[in-house]
This record gives sequence, C-alpha cells and structure tokens, in this order.
Amino acid sequence: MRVFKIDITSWTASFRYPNLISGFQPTLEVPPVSTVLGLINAAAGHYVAHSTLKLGYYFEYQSKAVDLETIYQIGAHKGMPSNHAKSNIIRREFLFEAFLRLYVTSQEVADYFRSPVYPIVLGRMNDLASIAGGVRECSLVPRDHADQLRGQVVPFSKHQLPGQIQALPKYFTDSFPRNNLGVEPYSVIGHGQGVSARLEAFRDEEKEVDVYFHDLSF
Amino acid sequence: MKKTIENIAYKWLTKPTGDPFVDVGGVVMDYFARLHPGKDVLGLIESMTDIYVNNWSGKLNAFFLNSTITQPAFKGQKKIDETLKYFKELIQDKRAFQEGYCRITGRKTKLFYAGRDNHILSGSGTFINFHSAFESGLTLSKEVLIRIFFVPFGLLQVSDKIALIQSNDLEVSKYFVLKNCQENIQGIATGASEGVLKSSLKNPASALFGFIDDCVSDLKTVVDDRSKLKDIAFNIYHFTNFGASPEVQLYHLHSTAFRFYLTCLNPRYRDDWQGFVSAHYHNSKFKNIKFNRTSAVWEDKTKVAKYGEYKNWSNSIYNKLLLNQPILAEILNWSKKYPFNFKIVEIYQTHIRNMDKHTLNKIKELADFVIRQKEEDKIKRTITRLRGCKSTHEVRQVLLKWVGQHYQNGEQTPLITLEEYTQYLFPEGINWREIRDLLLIGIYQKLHEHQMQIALESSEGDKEEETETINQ
Repeated sequence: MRVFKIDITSWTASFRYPNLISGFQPTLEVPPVSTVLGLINAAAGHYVAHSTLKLGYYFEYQSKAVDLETIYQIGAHKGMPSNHAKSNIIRREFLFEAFLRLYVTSQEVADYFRSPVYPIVLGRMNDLASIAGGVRECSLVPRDHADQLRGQVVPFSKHQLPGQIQALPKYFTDSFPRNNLGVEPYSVIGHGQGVSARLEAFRDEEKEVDVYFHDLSF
Repeated sequence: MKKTIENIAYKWLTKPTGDPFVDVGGVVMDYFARLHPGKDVLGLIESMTDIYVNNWSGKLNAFFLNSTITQPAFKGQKKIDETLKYFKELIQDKRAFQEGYCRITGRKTKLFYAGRDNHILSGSGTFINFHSAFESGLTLSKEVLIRIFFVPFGLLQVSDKIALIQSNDLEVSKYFVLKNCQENIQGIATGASEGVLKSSLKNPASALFGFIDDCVSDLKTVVDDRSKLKDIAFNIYHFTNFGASPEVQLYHLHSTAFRFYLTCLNPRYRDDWQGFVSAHYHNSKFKNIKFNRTSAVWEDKTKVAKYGEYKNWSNSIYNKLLLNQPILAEILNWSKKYPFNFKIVEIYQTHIRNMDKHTLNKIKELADFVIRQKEEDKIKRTITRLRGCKSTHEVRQVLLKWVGQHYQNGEQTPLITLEEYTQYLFPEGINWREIRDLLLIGIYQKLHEHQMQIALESSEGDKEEETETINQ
C-alpha cells in the first residue's frame, strides 16, 4: 500500500487517561486516535471535517518518568470562574524522547505537515514537537498475520489484544464544549514488546513494526 | 434482572466498555442480578445500598467523596433514603442533563455530571477548571453512573488502597470480580463482612501473583486453552478516592512476563522457581530473619514464618517482574549457592529480555569450556576474574584469553567464531553485564551439576553489580 510517512519527535510527551482527573496523572504509552487527529488539525490550521480517513501510526519513546507540576485550581461562583485560585502540586508521568510516525493515504492530509500552521504538541503545550524529515512517500507490505504489533492502539472488542485497556475517543466535535466522538475500548500496546494477531496490518520494514490501519468514518 | 424501566438501556449496564471501573461495576451488577432475578435496577440498587449502609456502615470513603453514603451529614436510614432518591431521579431523568456522547460508552444519550461523589477519581466540583470548558464534571450516561455505584462490592483493599485487576482476557477480569463478590456474600451471610473486602497481601505485586496462582488453578477454561494463555496481560489500578489525597498507581504485567511466570509453574521448573522466589520475600518487621531453603521457612531465634504467613510479605522478584525490571542479579546471587535450572534463565532471557537464542547457546558452550578445565584452582581463578570485570573491555579480555587457551589446546573448531563474537556476544547495544552475569550463572550451574564445591571469596564486584542493576 502506498502511504505518506510523517515523523514527529519531541523531548517529552504525555497522553492522559481521559477519566482520571484527580491525583496522580499517569500517561498512556501511545496517543489515542483523537490525539493524532488533533495533530492533523493543528497542522492544517483548522478543524478538518473528515468523512472517512485511513490512518495508521507508530509511537515509541526512550523512557518514562514522573515530574512534579504546579497546577492552579480556580474556584467557581454560580458556574463561572471566580477570582479565587490556589496552587497545588501534582505528579505527572511523562515519556522522554518521543517519536511518532504517521501513515496516511490521503495526499491532502500529508500536505498539511509540509508547512504546519500551528505548533505540534505531543500531549500538553510544553510537549512541543517537530516534524523530522518532512513527508515521505513509501510502500508498506500487507501481512495477514501480524506478529509485530506494537507502539499503537488497536480496537479491543474484536481482537482483545494485551496492553493497557481503555475507552478512548476517535475524535472531538468543534462545538463548545467539545464532545467526544466514537468512543470505544482500545488495547494500548506499548512499543516494547510486539503482539501477534490475526488481523490485517502493513509492515514498515524500517521500524520492523506491523501497522494497523484505522478505517475511520464520521 | 427484571427489565421494566423504559428509561434504561439495559445492555449498557453490563456490556464491557474498556473503562476498568465501569467494567467492574458491570460484572457486579450481573452477579447481583442473578442473585435477585426478581428485582429491577432500582431493586438492585436498594439491595446494594442496604449492604453498604447496614453491613459496611457506609465505609466507602476510598471510592466516593461526600456521596449520599459517605457524607457525614447523613446518618443511618438517611443515607439509604438519599441514595435511592438520587438514583430514582437519575433514572427518571429528573436531574440536570444534556444530550451528547457518553465519554465511556460512546453512546449518544442523556448525560449527567460525574464528580468524585459518584465516580472514581473524577475532578472536584469545587474547582471549575478541572474539566474542559468549565463544565461541572465528566458527562456520563446514567447506565455508567449506576455501574460505578456497584464497584466497591467487586474490589478488594490491598494495604492502604483499593486494588483492581484488569486483563485483556475478559474471563480473567470477570473472575477477579466474581471471586470478591462471592467472598463478600459469604462474609455478609456470616456477619463477618464489615467493609470493603481486605486482602492479607501487603502490596499490589503479591496480590497480582496471588490472584494469578488462584486463577491458574481455578479457571480451567482459560488455562486449558493454551493458545489464549500466551497473550494474557494484566493491569492493576491501586487507587483511593479518599478525601484530599486521591491517588492511583498503575502497574502492567506484560503478556511475556505472564507467560514466563506460567512456565515457571510447570512441574519441571516449579521447585527451582518456588525456592528462588520464596527466598526473596522480606518484611521490615523482621530484620534478622533468614530463609531456610531445606524447610522452606523464614526463621530466626524467636520466629518461624511458614509459607501461609510469608506469602503476604513483599517479594522483590514479583515487584521487579511487575515493574519490568531485570531479575538477573538475583538469579546470579542465587545460582552461586543453589542449583537453578538454566532453562528458566533461557526462557527469561528470550521471552522477557528479547535475547537471541544463539547468544544463550554460546554462553552454555563457554560455561562448558570453563568447567572442562577440571582443575578447581583454574576454575576459581576464572570465576574471580569474571566477577571482577567492570567494563566491556575486561569481559572481552577474559573471553579472548579463553579463545587463546582453546586454540593452544589443539581444538579443531574455534571456541568463538568471529560471527558469534560480533553478532551474538557483543552486538551493538548489548549490555556487557548481562553477558558477564549469564556466563557466571552458566558456570555456577555446571558446578552444581558436577557437584563441584569451590570456595569462592565474596567479591566487591558482586555488590556493585547488584546496585547497578537495581538502578537501571
């Protein structure tokens, strides 16, 4: 399959568990689909209303650590922010030396990354990332029985692959407040150990990884 | 469960969602519905509330902050009345809601706000910027909020927090919850249940491996299907939603580590493995206690702890497997004193450390070569030199010396070929300590096999190696 490859790197990255709000903030080992679609929007400079999208990606990092972070908690008055804010310290887990490779079949989506409009971040605003090596076109070889699925998320219900199991969104609306779209359970498979499964994937020989492609429709 | 309420999507009371807490609640609801087939959702909530309030005295503080059950202003029957009032209003859509997509089930439906009173580890309602767009909480469907209410009955307390074990194998996840439910029901029947089920185990690692042991022996359907076994992984959420100190610690046991552990329980390896693991328990209360390998007890002058007691202590091997940290230093120290099936080391290195089988085969050949020297003094000098190595260069020097000796002995084939040296023993990125440790483990095992007793001096290098491995 002919695809466009885009490599994104950053010093740090963090992808929150969507429903753990209080206390320690762990990071997922791979960004959810919605985060990747958010990156595409940032590169495009606008909300992209995809009708369908074929997307694969692979994420790896060098190590994981915990940082102390100051947060500001703002008080409420009749449902609106008040002038009362107090600081607190929380522990946030983060990934170091992050690498994300996107695989897209759409020329239009790939072109967004040739000259991104907004900064690309892998998590929060301090996880500033850069596009390394531009957009490259290449060919991936199909595999019926993937044995190197790693560094990606795969829908859980059909394959039940090992990993962190989480309900994750595919996308968000551009309304205010934003609504999550297409939430479903995913296996979040870290890049460290490859998983095998009878599903169609495409081999990226450069990374020795089998990439699962999400066929998204909205 | 009776299904008479129109405003409930019954399927979503039990369907797996991927959210660990909601899925536990679903299993408990299913279990409870089977216990009370004549009751509808509200009837089940009423029964559960009765247990929480009357049997457990409302002690759900690790789950819900200032809920209708935990807030101090409500006492006794008031807790029950307020809880039922809340759920009736929720089911009848009489509480504030908005239309949208539930962030856990993904369904488009009526959404209600969730905070730390009705959801675990949500944001505080006091502070407005805990949620996007200054919303009052997470927006969830009523089915999810109902499921969350049932969560405490399916979990257990390990040390000072609650433990939740989730697996990609749904039967395994379910087994964990059902086991806790059954123990709770028995406790309630005998009057022994006074709160959330408590584990005698002191940390999440012991709880997980204890659970796996139970699971392996009890859950025949899963274990018998060997093809399913190889891909089972575990996630542990060790959490509390208590007061001002909500906290969660996550642990992940990779499927490879689980596979390795299962292999160690195989009768061929079990005795060696159990002896090794048993010697790595520790309890800060007993500082001078030592493991007696013959009787498999921990003892000192005044205390003898049998397995039933020390299995509750912390175990450094389990902790490291759970944290994906290497255990080779421990195996090395153990091998010095006791026979330990090298096959376990091979499985560990290939499955968990991704080591090439050729490397391990070569290491076994090299260990054979050392032992073939026969003279104890020579073997002792070799071991001492290897133990003293502090760099790749020094390990290489030792190996090159062996290559020279082998050649001078007039052997027909080389001890190490150029390919083996570059591709398997010292490929790019290899950790020289791992090679050195494996060589030593291989040599110690050969000594045990040949029943050769060599008096080894304790080396500074050993202590250093141990520290460095721990710090990796």
